[in-house]
Order: sequence, then structure tokens, then C-alpha cells
Amino acid sequence: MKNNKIFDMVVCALFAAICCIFSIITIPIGMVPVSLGILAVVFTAVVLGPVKGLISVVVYLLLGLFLPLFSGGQTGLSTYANITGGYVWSYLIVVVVVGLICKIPTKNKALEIIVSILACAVGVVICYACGTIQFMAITKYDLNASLAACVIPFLPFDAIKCVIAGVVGPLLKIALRKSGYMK
Amino acid sequence: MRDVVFGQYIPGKSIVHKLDPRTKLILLVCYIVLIFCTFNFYALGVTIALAIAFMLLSRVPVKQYLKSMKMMIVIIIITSVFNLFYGGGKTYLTIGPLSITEGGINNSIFIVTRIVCLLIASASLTFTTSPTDLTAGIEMLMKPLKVLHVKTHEIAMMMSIALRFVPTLLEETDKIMLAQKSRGANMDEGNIIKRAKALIPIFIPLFVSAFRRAFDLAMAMECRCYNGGNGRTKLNTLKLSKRDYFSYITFLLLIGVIVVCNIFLGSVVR
Repeated sequence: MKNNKIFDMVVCALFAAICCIFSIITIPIGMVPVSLGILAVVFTAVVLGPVKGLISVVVYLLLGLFLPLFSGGQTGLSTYANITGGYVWSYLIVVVVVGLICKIPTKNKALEIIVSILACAVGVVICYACGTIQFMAITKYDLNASLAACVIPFLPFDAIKCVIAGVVGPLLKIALRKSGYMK
Repeated sequence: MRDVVFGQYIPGKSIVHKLDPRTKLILLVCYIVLIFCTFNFYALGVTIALAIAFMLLSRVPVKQYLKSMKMMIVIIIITSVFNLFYGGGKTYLTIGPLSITEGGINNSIFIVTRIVCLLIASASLTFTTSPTDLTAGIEMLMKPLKVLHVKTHEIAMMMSIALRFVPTLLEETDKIMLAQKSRGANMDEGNIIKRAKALIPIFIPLFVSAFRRAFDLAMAMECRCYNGGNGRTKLNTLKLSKRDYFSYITFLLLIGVIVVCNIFLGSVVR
């Protein structure tokens, strides 16, 4: 019963809601608006894996069409077509890649956490790549200018996010297995 | 956390409010494509006129639109300033290794205008359509994907459930934080690492209890004989009206105008 289709559907909706909540939170540190969206996405990938994680992120991005989920309350289709939209739709790729990496079998808890952190780092790099490509395409900047504007100021904060998601994700999976909600 | 305003729907009875959500979604997608297919000032003018029409017809206060643009101002300013220095043509001003050119000015104007028009158009959608209607609209628009075996109804159902879960999770977060504080947890003191550690007794029980809710909800749905999209009926159905067809025709005409402007009047940006 606990592994049935409807439960999976509700769990995906739950993680979509979690992504929504995290995305709303924006911590303005100086000129750099640090959003927790990527944290929620890689966390979802760690906990749910590639398939259910992808479904969650699809639902989350669809909700983003009409809810103010993205940094600073951006909303609507324009978010995906805007200069910073590449960072958002790249979540689809990020969640699959991170989920697949986290499927690598590990022998103990510490190793599982290390694999998770590395997977999250890979995810963030992919997000940067897609986001920068779209930023360059729309603004006509060259690569260096785009990186200076969109990547370098965010590096330290995203590193912290990777560690947080990489540590909490496996811990949550362990807790869920004990509770019987996850196999 | 409880103060987070979720959703931007503003009830009203304007023309835009009454349009079918599917119509609004389709027109918005077309408009976005249109914005990036304008290459001279005449086409850009028509595009701007369209955005202003969206704004005025929705009868939502302009102040509301400005508020939704506030956070984008920094990005817009930075982008437009940088664009001044890229582009060819006549040079107006030279500052060291940088120079402001005619092409740069044109690029800046187009970038800023495009971004602002995008924001206005999508804001007019979210201001005039409730999340529930939009979810229903998206589900119906996704129906062709059934040919590709995409489960459109299930996706729409997950969207609705996610919408309902958000306030629930926020409440749960509040409760757990208060409970842990009453047990002596300190979340406001110590360095970053200590604060991060203090969040773990918040997040783990939050997610486990969320899973319990998910399990209870799935059980309840199954007890009510829910088994997926097959054989389902709807409490509220969407229907197109004359207003919708009129909107489509008007929009097609305007697209034609913009295409003609682009073809016959030349380009000022690449």
C-alpha cells in the first residue's frame, strides 16, 4: 500500500510544494540576491531520485508559470524567456543528473553523504552552464562578462547550498526508511 | 513564514478576467515569441501598445504592475548599461577602452523594452486568473501530449495538491520551530555552522511529518475511489466564448502587422 501509485503522486506534489516554498525565500546579501531554489531542486533529486524528482520539478516549473516563485517574486512565462531564465529550466536537467549520481550504491552513511554533496555540485555546475548560455544569447554579452555578472558572485553561496542539501538529503532518507515511507 | 503572500490573483470583472484561461495562456506564449521577433522600432511600438492594452484592459491598478517589476529593476539597469558598449555604428562617446555607439543604444532600448513587456504581459495573466483556473487550463492545453503517453491529468492533479500543500507546510514549519525552541534550541545565535546545525531538528521532522500527511492523503483519495485520470469527470468545465474567439482574431491581426513591419521597414538590431 505504501508503494502505490497515488502515494507516489502525492509525494511528488509534496516536493513540488517544498520547491515552491524554498524558491520564495530570497536572502539579499549586498547586490547578490541568493535564492534557495537550486537548493530545493538538488535536495529533491537526492531524496526522490531521477524519475520522481523530474516529475516534481516539472510540476514545480508549471506552477512557476503563474506563481511568484522565482527570485524577487518573478512570475509567469516571461521568467523562462528572460535573461535569467536559463537558470530555471535547467533544473530539469539538474534533477535527473543529480538523481542518477545519487543512485550509486554506497557502503556506509559517510560515503553516501559525500556522493550526495558531489552530485549537488555537479548539478549546480550544469545550472550555471545553461543559465549563462541563455543570458549570453539574450543580452549579447561575451562569456567573461556573463560569468562575472551571473556566476562568480554566487559561487560561495551555492557551495554552501550543496553541502546543506548533500548532508540533509541522506539523513532524511534514513529517517524515512525507519518510518517506513521509503524502501 | 506565515506572512508569505502566495499567489497574485486579484479578483475582478474586467474583460481579461472573463477570458478562458486557455486563451490567456496561448496568447501569452505567442506574445513572448513575438517580443523576441521584433527588430525595428515600429514593430517594437506595436509590441509596447499590446502590453499597455493588456495592462489597461485588466483594470488592475498600475501600481500593482510596478510593484511586480520592482525586483527586476537592478537586473534591467545593469543589463542596459552593459549593452551600451556592445554594438556597431556611429560612436557618440568614448570612455577609455569603452565607447557608446548607435548600435549599443539600440540594443539597450530593445533589451529593456522586451523585459518590461514580458513582465507586464505575464503579470496581467497572473493578476486576472486564479491558480485553480490556470491549473485546469494547463491540463487541457496539455491534452495533445497524451499521444506521447504523458499523463496530463496526473500532472494537473499534482499541481493542485502542491498548491494545497504549501500553506500546510508553512504552518507545520511554524509549529516545529516553536516546539524546538521550547526545548531549548537556539537558532539565532552562534556562527553560520551552528545555525545550520540548528536547522536539522527543524527540517527532518518537518519532512517526515510531511510524508505522513502525504500517506494519509493518498489513503483518503484511494478510499474515495480515485484511481487516476481515466473515467474522471469535472465539477467545473472550461468553455470558450465569443470573447475568446475575438481575442484570437485580434491577436492574429496584430501579429500580421508586426511581421509586415519587420519585413518592409528594415532592422536596427541583430
